[in-house]
Amino acid sequence: MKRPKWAAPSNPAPAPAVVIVDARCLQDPDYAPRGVGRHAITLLQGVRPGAARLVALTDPLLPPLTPDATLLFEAVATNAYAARQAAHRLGGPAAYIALSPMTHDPLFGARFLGDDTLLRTAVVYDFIPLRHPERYLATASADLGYALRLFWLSQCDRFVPISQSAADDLVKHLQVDRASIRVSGAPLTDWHAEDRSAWIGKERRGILVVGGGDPRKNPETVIRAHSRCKALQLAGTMLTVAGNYGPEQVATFKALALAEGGRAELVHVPGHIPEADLVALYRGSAVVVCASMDEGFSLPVIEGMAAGALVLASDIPAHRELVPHAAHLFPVDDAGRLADLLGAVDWTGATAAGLIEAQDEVWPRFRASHVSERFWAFATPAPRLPAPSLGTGAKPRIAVLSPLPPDRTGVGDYTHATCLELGRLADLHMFTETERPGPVPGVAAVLPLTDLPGLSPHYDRTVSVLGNSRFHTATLEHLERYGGASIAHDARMLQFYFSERGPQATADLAARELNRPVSVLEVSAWLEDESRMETTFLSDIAAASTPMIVHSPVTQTMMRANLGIETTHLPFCIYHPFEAATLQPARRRAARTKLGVAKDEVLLATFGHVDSVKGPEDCLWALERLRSWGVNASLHFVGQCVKNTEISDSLASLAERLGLGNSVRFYPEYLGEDVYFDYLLAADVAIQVRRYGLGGLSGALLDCAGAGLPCVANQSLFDAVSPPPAYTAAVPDVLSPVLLAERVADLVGVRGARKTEATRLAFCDERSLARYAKLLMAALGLPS
Amino acid sequence: MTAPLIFDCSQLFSAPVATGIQRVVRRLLQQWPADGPPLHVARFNPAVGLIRVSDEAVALLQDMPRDYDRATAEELGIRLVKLSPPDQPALPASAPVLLPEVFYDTRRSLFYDRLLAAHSHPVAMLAYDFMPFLQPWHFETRSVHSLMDYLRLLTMATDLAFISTHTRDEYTTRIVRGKAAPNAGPVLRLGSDGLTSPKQKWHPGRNSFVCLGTIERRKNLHLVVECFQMLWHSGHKVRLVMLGHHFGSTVPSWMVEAREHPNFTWIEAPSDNDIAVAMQDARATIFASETEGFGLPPVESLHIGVPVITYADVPSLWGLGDAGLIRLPRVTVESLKSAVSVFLDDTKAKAFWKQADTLKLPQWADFARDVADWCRHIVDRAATP
Repeated sequence: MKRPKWAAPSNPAPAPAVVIVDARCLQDPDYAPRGVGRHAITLLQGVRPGAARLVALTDPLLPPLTPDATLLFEAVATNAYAARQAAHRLGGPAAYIALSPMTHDPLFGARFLGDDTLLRTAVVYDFIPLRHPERYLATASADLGYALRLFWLSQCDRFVPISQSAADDLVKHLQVDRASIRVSGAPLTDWHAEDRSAWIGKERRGILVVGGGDPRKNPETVIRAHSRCKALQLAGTMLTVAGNYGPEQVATFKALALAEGGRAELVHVPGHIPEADLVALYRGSAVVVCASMDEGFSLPVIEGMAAGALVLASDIPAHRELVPHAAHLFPVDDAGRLADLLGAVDWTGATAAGLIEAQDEVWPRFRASHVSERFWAFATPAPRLPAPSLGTGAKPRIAVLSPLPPDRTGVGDYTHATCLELGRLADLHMFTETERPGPVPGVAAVLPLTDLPGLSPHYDRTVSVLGNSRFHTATLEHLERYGGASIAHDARMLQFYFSERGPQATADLAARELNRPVSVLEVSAWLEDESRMETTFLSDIAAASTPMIVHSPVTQTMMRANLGIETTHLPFCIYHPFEAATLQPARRRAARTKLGVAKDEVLLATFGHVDSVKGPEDCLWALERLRSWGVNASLHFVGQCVKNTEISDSLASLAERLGLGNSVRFYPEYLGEDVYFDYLLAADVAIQVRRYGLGGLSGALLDCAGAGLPCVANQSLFDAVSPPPAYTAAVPDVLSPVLLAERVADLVGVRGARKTEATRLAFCDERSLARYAKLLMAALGLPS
Repeated sequence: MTAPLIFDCSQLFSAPVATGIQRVVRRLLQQWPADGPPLHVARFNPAVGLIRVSDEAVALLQDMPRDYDRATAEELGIRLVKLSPPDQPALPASAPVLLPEVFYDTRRSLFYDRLLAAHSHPVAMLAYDFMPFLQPWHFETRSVHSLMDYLRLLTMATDLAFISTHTRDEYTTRIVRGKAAPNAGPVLRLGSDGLTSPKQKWHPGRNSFVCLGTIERRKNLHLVVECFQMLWHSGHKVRLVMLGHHFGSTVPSWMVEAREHPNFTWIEAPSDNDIAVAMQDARATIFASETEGFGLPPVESLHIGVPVITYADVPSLWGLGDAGLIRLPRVTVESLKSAVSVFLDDTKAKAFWKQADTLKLPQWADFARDVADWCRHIVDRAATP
């Protein structure tokens, strides 16, 4: 794939290569402190040609990177999208390294594994599961998962296995070209590679086996051999089996020794010991036996050699390439042969010295610096010259993840409306959870939401559109796994988390945001009365987003002040644009007639489904005040108010008590767009208020402004939407019906005035979809 | 003989605290003139409507000292209930009702709503202020709609008196928004003789400034503290004393910080004696609130001869001139500092004290008489066929 011309600035100087590293094995406690982690960190700590700069790809579900690993990276990202953005900030990614491609979900980094513009290198350890499927691939899921990992491994350009045998397996199983393989070996730790003069030549006793949890380490063959070897038994030669074995296993080993005719007390199993003690064991042992049935690389072989012990090893490919004398190899299960070898050892040390000289040709190759040097010589791309400013000229390709109509969500409507203008600037691919979405103008394709936008390298940007409803469940999951830019429509996500993630997860998120314990009970109380809510539940979205885009400047300020999170603000735009002709007096009169509104009636409308957080009682009381002042006003709740619910009963009762029965209208059913638009035309003044002040937006308030409908809103809603003050007014966030009524009375008669229309047109231009699309492109770092 | 008047003091009966509006209502009971309309004291019971309060209970309310603490108030409440069981003699059937309290009990409002609608029964009310409705941001709530029944009742009452011209103006211009308000009656000023401290005399040893009244954001006390912190920082040893309850869930940070300073004192539930002791050392009192229905503390301070630094437009000071006062057009740290500096000069301070000494201010007996006179007109009107 050619780079489009906008992808990089022109700069004649070669920049250090930027390398994205899948560093999950350095987070995972199952791998970080063990062989895989040690190998990975050694590779990264080596001297990198051209001072390549590293960006870590990490998984937020795993523990943080180990401290020594963190120091190696210039940026740490929690998803592939963010890693690419970080790499771009450093000059653009040139390479991708999978440090442990067979141990973690390959899809997490698939965006890079599928990117032909990167040099993709995999560190390869072994293919043991393929040789022992009954043990490692016994279930269908394990088998399928391994096959998936093999597939993504095969997408790499270069392979750095830790042994020749692993390289041979790579060729055998994946038909990889040998030219793309460079064996690195595995590194000795500094302990083992120290100057040996301090202990070489001193008396050594006993035999050491370094085992572990995996049965393939096969210490049993060594115990059998040791027990059968009469010379060793007579001489009282100790056999130490190192490894994290529990008491039950120790008893089994001793029983095995007895069964084979040996002395149980000569089998010493120290259990887990620190590395320094293990090194001391190596240095005090005359013989190190490695009986493993299979290995990708055998560290005990070279560690034994580095310690100056005689190494005897099972006859497997990984050992064959390390042990210089074939005579020191024994068949894996042949305890008799090993007993013979052990019996023939010259325990005085004279003969051993000669053998050890040959071993000394082997182990130094595995000093850490040598291993990492071999690795980086192969994994570092050539210095990357910036791409020329000649490209395909193609529009950037953007994957947009969003609900769409016919789902009844304002967020979906907004996305739908945005696409036409955005589609002029970018090649849009829409991924949606909505079943049977209708056509979307401006979009190249509408596809079901899958992992594809997170895996494909062919999207220049991915944008997840989120709101506080069930319509966004899979979109948020996708964002959390694969990252991307996000547009967070709502100022709070309480209902979403509570219903989709459960009460406890919601309370946990609140506790993280507030930095104090939060109980499920407290969160439930917020759900009952959102005005009591203390936080926004937006931090997890922010953590996965690059960048997080919000439409409310109030939310932006709150995120910065309360959570220390930077977001990008784009002004909410008018997604139901009104043509001037639509707003002509005749059209307004027609709408009023259709709705049964009298000519001299001052029609107040409040839009949105009826909910106590939207201050319906305040609106009714404001109507009471207005009518007491002689204003012939009526109030219509333009949104569903389901019958026989607590709120509908209470509002109906209040209206009746205040003598407003004939001046108030509720709609028990869901209202279609036609009625909504009729009210935008017919009303004289709108009231849009919220009893919570977290910077929430109101699409209806924006529609009012776009339609030139004077509107009263509470201050934080007003600040969030910023409608034109010429025909909108704010009341304090602590709602008072008197103040509401005063502002409404001020606005009666304002609609349709010439000055108002001029302001409306200017506002509509400023908040147009076309302008929004350009701002969005800029927020995504794309030209428009 | 003047026809009777029903005096509904349900709030005082159920929560007989010694502060706020209950204090005003008790003053009316205590100082109601003998020639005023005979009072039939009543309380509201949601099940039956208005019930007479027994003479013994009324006597108890009248006899209580000016000042007592919350525990005493709770004990008093229990005694009142015992002294005035529901089975009291009936109230005079068609007597006008005086509602001298502020209450946000919807049932009580609806009771009067029905009374007014059914019988055109004279119901007179005393309006204190409209802050919850016109400056709602001073209150820890999300909406004041639940208080609207009370406001509506005020507009429906047959007669309405106001404690200040400011309150009356707000009523006519904003609550009824210029509509004819035939019920809008006189302004009846509250008494200024609420403090039991003796008349104070100037002496140069006075070293304190005193803030009287509740601790609320709108009172601008944080600005006062900031002003004094600057003075202390520049070496002044003058003391600042705050006397009043804190309204709100948590003590504000400025108060927590101020209490660390040795020259600052806050007494949260001050007794008469605490106030008297504080006034003995006061050079002036400071009243920085810019939002008040009336604002008793400055006139109470002037009444005992202590000059005041105050926001210029406090309703209780309307029409009083500038004697004994430094009026601040805007309350800022700088304007406060400048005014305090004036009082730190003995010669200038003495001049203000001299002015304050000559003032004649309305007293609670005057207020009770004014209310009684107003009510006499109402009962007479009601008695006229």
